[in-house]
Amino acid sequence: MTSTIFLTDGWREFKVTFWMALKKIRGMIALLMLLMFIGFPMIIMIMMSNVVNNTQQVFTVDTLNSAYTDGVSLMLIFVMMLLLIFTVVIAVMLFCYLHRKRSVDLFHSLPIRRTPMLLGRYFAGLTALFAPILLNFIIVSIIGLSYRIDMQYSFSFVGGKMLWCMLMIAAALTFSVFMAVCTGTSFDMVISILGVNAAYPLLIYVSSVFASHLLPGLKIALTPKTTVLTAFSPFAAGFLPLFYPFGRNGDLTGGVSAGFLIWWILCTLILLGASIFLCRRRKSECAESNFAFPIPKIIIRFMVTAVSGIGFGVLLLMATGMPVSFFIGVISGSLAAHIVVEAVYSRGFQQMRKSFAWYGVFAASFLLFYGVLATGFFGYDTRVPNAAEVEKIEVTAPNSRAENQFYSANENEHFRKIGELSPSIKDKENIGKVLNIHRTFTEDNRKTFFPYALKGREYENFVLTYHLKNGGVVKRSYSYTYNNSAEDAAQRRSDEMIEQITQIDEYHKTASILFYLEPEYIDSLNISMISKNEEAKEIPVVLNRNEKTELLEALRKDCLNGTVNCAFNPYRNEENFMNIVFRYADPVTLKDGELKTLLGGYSGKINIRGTNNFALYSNAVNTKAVIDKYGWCKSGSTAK
Amino acid sequence: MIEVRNLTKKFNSVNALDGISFSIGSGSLFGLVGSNGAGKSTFLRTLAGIYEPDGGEILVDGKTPFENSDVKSKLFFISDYPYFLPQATLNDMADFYIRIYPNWSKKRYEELCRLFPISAKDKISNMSKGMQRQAALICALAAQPDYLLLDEIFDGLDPVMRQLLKRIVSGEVAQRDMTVIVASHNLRELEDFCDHIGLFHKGGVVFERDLDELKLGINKVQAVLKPTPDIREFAPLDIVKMENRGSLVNLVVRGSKEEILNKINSLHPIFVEILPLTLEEVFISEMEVAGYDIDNILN
Repeated sequence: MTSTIFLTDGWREFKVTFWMALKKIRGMIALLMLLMFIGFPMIIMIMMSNVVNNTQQVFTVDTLNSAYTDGVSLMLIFVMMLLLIFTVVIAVMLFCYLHRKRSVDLFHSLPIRRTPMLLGRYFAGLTALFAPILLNFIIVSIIGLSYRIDMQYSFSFVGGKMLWCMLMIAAALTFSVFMAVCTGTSFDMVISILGVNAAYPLLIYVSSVFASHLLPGLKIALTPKTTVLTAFSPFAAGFLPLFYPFGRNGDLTGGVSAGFLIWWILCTLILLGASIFLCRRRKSECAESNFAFPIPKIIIRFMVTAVSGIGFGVLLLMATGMPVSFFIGVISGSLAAHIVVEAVYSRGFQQMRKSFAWYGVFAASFLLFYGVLATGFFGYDTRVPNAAEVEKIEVTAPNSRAENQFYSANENEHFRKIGELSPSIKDKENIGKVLNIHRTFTEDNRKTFFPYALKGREYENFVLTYHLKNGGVVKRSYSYTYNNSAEDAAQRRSDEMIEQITQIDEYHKTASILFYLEPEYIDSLNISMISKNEEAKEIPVVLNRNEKTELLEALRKDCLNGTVNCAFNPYRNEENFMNIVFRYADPVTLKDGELKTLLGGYSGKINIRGTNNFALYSNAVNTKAVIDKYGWCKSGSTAK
Repeated sequence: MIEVRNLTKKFNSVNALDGISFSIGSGSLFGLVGSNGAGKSTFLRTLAGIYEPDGGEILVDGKTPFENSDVKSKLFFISDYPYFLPQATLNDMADFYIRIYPNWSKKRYEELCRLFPISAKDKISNMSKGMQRQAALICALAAQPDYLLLDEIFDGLDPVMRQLLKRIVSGEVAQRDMTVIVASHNLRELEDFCDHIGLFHKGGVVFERDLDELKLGINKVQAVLKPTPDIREFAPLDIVKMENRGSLVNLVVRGSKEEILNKINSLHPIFVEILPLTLEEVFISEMEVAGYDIDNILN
């Protein structure tokens, strides 16, 4: 009478659920396909056609490649936004059955176990999202081919973006399913998804800003592609990196690190495993209550409370520059957020008094965090490596060095950045000198300012990166005014330390492009005569190899004397000065020398970008002597 | 065969089922009665494998139904507010169940569609409460389960449909030896439908009996006696309840009709009559003897 075989097999149960779920969302699949087509392949088609038909512009293979790449990268923002919206909608459609008592009665009484039920719906959701992605990216690749975009390039570029989209959408869907299992209503599911995805990156960001303002030497530089910034926020992880400059040519990851991808593959699998585990333990009677498992609610409330408190505090600190306003901000922001979150989750204020125990947990955590940072984070503030441990010190001082980048000029590499100027100290004696300066600074700082207080203002960052012989890295970052405009004592000390380090010759030699240039790298130059009372005069000059050699030597000497400013910001408070502006050969064929060594022996042609002007002060005697010797300023243009 | 052993189900601190134990034989029509919150629906949901027991066990043919698709494929549960897929018609629901229930019969489905006056092509969400229950019943009976669990199924059904439902379900029980468990707060609905009754109260089973056995062993007597005798004069009859209105005496007595009549006649009544007891009266009597406030239990 009854079959004991039918549907006892998990695979059969999965298949039944999968097809039923797919049938339920077939309308959404069609809609997503259509919207994606309108916003992606159709726009790319229009853009490419516009490039080809634009008679004002001579288009080359590079122009087409560039237009195609830029178009895909730009439209990817829209595509991802659309996909993330549909991810939430589809997740709600597929898993809202868990949130209504009546539907739970139906689905949990069916002869389908919970694991195949969840997996069947999950994979139906993935299929619904992947099918439009696959179809539309294939169309985009075909459009690329039809416009003579290199097939390998087109497929690798578009394919890479497609795989990246698929990974992030899988992560976002899995996260949504996890939240569906943890919550009791679809409303709580959606606000929890939004809450975590917005609160987590903001919490990491505001915490890093706060910690950087408090702990000397710490400066956490977060970018949208920093894995930790979005590590528990798949929606932000899928979306934020798109606003960052996109890597081109064979960059399959959208410019994010391999760690980012590995994390999200692992995270997706862990979330899926956790969803299955929790779904099997989920009590059916939790439908229509707030949460099936209390932990997510506690975490979300904590995150929102913390991000609002610290965020509002940091905002007030930045606005007023007064540390006391930070604490006012933390208390008012966190309290308001706690009350709002509790009222939303509990649909009222009945549980409010009880919930303040959890506010106490936040308050205690914050005080602990503050205390640990204010007392130097277990010696972080005074940690300076020993000279014997250090192999190299990288010095990053914005506005006191040249900013030069080097790009490949090879046709098949499409302007790939292959390196940049990176001032560093490798000489043993100089390393010892920097370490002593740094150590004295940290010890003085501790004596004078311990326990540390929040800094009202932050200026530019001066970064010392110690590369250790064992492969480790110690990085310390200090606030830096570079024009000695510091108002407070701590900042003045910091400025003094930085000035001592940037006066080391080795720093200058590695910080300025002058020490990397060969005569062949310079095409021509302009000399600008800048005077307070007269209009600036510009004299174009073409030099032969010997003249270039002589000029470079003179500039290097004056640079080390401090009479030529080879930094990005060449202007000093002088009434009259001369400015030498190089025009670099384009492209440059690398010769054996400092630049080739810096670029790791790169053998192709390159383009030099960045700093090309050098301000000569009145006492730049060596350079002025060369200029006078050849009479460049007297005769105007000299062609040789 | 359903066996319930020390079954417990808690909702927070409330014991919805508090260590209940009893068994339901195959092919029986078992009625669950009790007031709102007595635990009837919780019991059905636990039996349907929706709720996981917090203690004890519930076995269907020796196996627990929770997360057991083998057992669940023999069960069909219609909840007090049946759920249908959004925008679904009866045919859509049939298409849904046909993939899930092994014994689904298309022929039976078509027969049932002809028996019940609802359209298989209309959206179920647009139907009345009673029609929705009919739709759920059609699906349940077409699935041909071994165990049919019905929660407040008579709500919203008109008298004709109630009779039709009783007739069809009884037929299935007779033909296929299907076991039916039907929960209701209305004893009168179950009186001519069930062969077994279990009374739930505050998460416990007050008692569980065969209905015929229950009815046969107890009688209601109306007699006019002058002068009105004292209750002791009825000895050795087992008087469950006695009410006097002047010379009119109403008795609820345990025992056979002959035995009771012989005793009453020995008291020379002006008039005596033995009346059938409604199920509700039997319950009231039994419950009062057991010391329960029956009005509180059934209302």
